[in-house]
Amino acid sequence: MKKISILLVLVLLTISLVACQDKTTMYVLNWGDYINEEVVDAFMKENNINVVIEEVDSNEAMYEKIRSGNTKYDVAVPSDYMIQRLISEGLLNKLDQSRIHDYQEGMFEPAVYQLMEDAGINEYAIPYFYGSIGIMYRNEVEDYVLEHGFGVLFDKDLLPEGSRVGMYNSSRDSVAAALLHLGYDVNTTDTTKLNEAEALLADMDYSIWGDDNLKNEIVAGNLDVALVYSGDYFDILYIVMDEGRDVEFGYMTPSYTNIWVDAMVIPTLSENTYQAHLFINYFLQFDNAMENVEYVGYTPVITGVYEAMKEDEDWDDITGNIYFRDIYYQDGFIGQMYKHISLEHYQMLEDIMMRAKMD
Amino acid sequence: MGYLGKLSKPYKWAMYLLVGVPIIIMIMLAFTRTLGVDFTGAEFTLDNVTRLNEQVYRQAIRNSLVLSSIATIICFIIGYPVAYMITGLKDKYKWLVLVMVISPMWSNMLLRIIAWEQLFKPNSLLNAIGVSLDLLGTRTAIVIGMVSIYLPFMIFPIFTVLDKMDKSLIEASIDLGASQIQVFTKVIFPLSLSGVASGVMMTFLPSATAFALPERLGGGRILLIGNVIENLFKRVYNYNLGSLLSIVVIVIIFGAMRIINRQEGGLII
Repeated sequence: MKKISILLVLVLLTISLVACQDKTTMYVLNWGDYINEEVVDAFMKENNINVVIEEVDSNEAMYEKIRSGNTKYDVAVPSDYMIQRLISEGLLNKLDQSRIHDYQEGMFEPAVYQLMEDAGINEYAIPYFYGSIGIMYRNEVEDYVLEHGFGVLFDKDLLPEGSRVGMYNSSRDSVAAALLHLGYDVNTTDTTKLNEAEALLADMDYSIWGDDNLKNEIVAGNLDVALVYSGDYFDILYIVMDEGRDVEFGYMTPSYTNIWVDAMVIPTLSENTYQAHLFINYFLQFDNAMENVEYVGYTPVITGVYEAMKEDEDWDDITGNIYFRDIYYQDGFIGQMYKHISLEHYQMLEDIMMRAKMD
Repeated sequence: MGYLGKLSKPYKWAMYLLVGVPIIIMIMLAFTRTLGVDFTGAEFTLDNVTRLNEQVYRQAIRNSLVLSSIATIICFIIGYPVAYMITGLKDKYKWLVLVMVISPMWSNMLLRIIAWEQLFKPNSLLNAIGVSLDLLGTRTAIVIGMVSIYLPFMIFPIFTVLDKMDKSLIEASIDLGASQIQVFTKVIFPLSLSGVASGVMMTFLPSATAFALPERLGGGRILLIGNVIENLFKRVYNYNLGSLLSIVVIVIIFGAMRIINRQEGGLII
């Protein structure tokens, strides 16, 4: 009996000790594999804060989690249109610039900053990474892709007989690609234009409607061209180069396309806004941002970081590719950001995609 | 019954809670317009019901019913002879064959689906022996997947019924002058129908409501009703139409069960 009571006391002691640790815990809502854990660890040590990161795979899931408030997230990283929606529903705090010491006017890439300003989200969000949608292709069809851009995804006759085309299995992206190909605004609500986009999608016989797997299928030779996110392409490029395999594929961003931005925001339900600001600020500091880019591999939003990458020879393969960043600053390039429209509109886009898949 | 009946109480209450309550919530969602499951400001509407008639949903339901029926028929054609053959085996071989039938079920269903997906691609392991199936994204691929995954559920109930069958009935029919074929058609098959009915249900129901399987093996190109419902919930957060479609599926399934039940004189599962 005595032994048991001693054991009990010990157990209770350990529990209370663990519980008493004088550490705030903050919750971060992020995409999978989208942050350098080492940088997060360093942040935790420096500030004596415990960071819990949760991952989701869609903006919609992110929205649902922020809104439900089951976990009171302190920082989240949704994309452009979802930030607009969160703001419109009063779910985000305005950022306190005075608490983000490392923020300087003009430190962000102009293309990103301008689009965020146009969308009215830059008082609520600090950009994290950005990119575009474009076409990933096998080298055999490179000439066709460079010549026709989005056309290869929507006109069977532009590619050699028997080519396999993959489409992104997301209504917003697939319809947007069709609209961009037609030269329309990605956020259009004009039904005649949307009908034209639907006709294009329905007319094509896509071999695969996929998501992250599209890039792998191109590498494996199961697809010849596919709509992918720029980040997806660079992601697989690093992997293939690391493995020392031949790079038999390429990527191009048409000069009229969508630009997306993922940005850090602080939900109104956050209980640790002080720590949240610290966290956001931490990822603006040059060294941390650099380490994070090295891990994530997407296009950095901080101009200084990009310039440092460009000077580093190790990055030549990436920064030398104009589709990593420079395309966004070429004459004639027009990037459009998705805007939050309405739930009815999203349902309509989903219906368009489902109808396009039916024979 | 008294004592054992009490034991079943917790299960009964769990069923009410975990099946009954969600169905009531789904019915409420189906006839209202809400944001997710948030009922604040919900209003009654029949909009969803009118949308049911849209071609997308009709075709998705048809796809599900057609593909799962084909899969079920193939499962029956393969499964019945296999079950019959197993009953005829000596005991020591019987368990061996049974283990072989069960063993695929030891690995996760999703893994088996992904394995098929890999084989169905134009460039796959099979290229090494000069074969390229190139079936990904076809209805054939989905049916093959369904058959391979649900076949054991057809074999087992039939096997159980055949194995427990009173052999004296067969002897009696032979004594009375029935031929081999007559013994099968007049005695064995009618007596095994309850097993067939459970087998049909256990293959038809999961394949009619499958969504991961058609998503992977259909290359995202072929929409079954399960995929449409998943999209409505996960992508566009239209819980209302999603719930209504789920209820429609439940009704169809109950209808199918009743039909099978009636033919079997209530001999189900």
